Amino acid sequence: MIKFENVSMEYSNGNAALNNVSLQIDDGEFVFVIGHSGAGKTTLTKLLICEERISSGKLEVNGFQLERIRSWKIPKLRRTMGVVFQDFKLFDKMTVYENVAFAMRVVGAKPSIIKKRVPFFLDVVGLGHKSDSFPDELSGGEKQRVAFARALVNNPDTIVADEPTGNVDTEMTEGIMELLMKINKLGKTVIVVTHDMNIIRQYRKRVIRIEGGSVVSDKIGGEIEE
Amino acid sequence: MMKPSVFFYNIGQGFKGFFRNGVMTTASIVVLIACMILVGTFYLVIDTIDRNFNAIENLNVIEVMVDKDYSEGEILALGRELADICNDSPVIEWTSSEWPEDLLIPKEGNFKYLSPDDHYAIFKEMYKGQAWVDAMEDQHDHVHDEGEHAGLTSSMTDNPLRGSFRITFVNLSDIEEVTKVKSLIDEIELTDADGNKTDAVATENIKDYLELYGNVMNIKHTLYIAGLWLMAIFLVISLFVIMNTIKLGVFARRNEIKFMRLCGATKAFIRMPFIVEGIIIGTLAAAISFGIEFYLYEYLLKGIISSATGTTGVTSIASAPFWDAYALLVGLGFLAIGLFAGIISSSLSLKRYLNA
Repeated sequence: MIKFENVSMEYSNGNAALNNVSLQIDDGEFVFVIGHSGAGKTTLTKLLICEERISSGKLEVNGFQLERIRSWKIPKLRRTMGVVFQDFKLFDKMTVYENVAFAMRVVGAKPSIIKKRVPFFLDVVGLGHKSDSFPDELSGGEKQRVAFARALVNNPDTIVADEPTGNVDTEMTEGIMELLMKINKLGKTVIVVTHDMNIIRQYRKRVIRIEGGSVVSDKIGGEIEE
Repeated sequence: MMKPSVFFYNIGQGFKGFFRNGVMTTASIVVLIACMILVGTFYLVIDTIDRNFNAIENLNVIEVMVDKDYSEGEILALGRELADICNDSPVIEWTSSEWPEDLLIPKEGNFKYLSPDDHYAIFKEMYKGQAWVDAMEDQHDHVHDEGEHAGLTSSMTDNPLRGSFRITFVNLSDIEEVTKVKSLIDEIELTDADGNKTDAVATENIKDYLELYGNVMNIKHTLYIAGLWLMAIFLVISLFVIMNTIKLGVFARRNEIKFMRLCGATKAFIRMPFIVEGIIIGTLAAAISFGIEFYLYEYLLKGIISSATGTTGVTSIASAPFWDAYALLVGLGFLAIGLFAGIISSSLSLKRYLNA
């Protein structure tokens, strides 16, 4: 569960990024977070993985109280989250297999477990046949799916996808959304940060709109106005 | 507790990092070697001076030369005066009990008398085998019968050597006390049959190497201070160069490091490959330095030491065998410097990228 209680966050230069945000995302929910550039969406995701710390309020993420979390516990928190970045953050000198395996290796997984899980998750995202390819040999959609496999491979409770359809065509967008739905059906909480109003309307899920650092609406997708 | 698979993975990553920046890695090793060689050489020179200093007979003695025309009675009287000084001085391990009244003047120990004949024997031993020594020996006439001769004056008519009292110091580092002994000896007066007091020992008859000792002490002190400063300077330079080498690796992997952090990698996990890289640099530099230091000591330092022996007039300066005396200490010392520089610099290089 993710629970924001009157959370505010101010950067060291004095700019307020979030103002008094309160919201709750239950386990297994599928949520879109929308808003204009600079609205506070990225700050919100950074707070979830403790890349930034809250200035005031209370924030609970998957059982961790982030307002008082000790630095040695942050890796444990992050292992409960799988983050898919807009720019994929794949490593060019690693193959598809190695990119996914790297995420497991850095959390200390055994080689025998890595050998079993990586092919499985590459199959889940439909890229089992491309495991020896390098990122520059893949399309945008394929790169995105590698990023999903990498986010899923450590079996996190929550997947956060930052503009997952931002760099792919319409056909790929559908494929990625189907994949996210599949992940959600596995019982994972899915948080999608996006600008794409079409997919919001199409998938009729909960939509949290942030503007000027505050939550301005929290509704089901079909009711959202642009 | 780190899993073996994680441990070996990070060791492998450390080796990869080591080979990644060849030029900078070589530069780090070279600077570190320079630092270690400098420290090691200063240590070996200072230790050689230390080892030899108190062991060299000519440096830690005062030789009080006896006038050639002194009678045995006068020699004994002078001996008693000197014995009192030796008995009272903390830098001479000798007590008057070593010279009971009824026994002859001591011929062994830290205060002893060397007769002209003893000096002649030492002289003969020193130039043993030379034809002119044998020829000189044949010409001696012995003037005393063995029974009458107490052994304090020469038994030969033409022995040009004089007798002497030899006082050996056990602690030359207390230079003030040693100087005090010397001045007390200079002030000794003997009373003749008429009750007149005369200076028993002319200043020029007190032979010592105290000035040389002071000079050597100054050199040692200067070397010590210079060594410490140079070590500190080179260590800072080494840290700086290694830090920059590892920073290059960290910079090249900054995206990986960021991703690792976001995935939930611990700081220790991220840090370890870079620390391994630092350890490899430090250990390799230590091993190379050890080899160089060995050859420097065996083939250069020992040569310099023996040539210094000639210029100081000291009969011999011994060089300790490297493997027995220094190998362990120098090896461990170099390893400690290498590991310190490697670990500290790699930890500092990563600090900025590890702040979550």
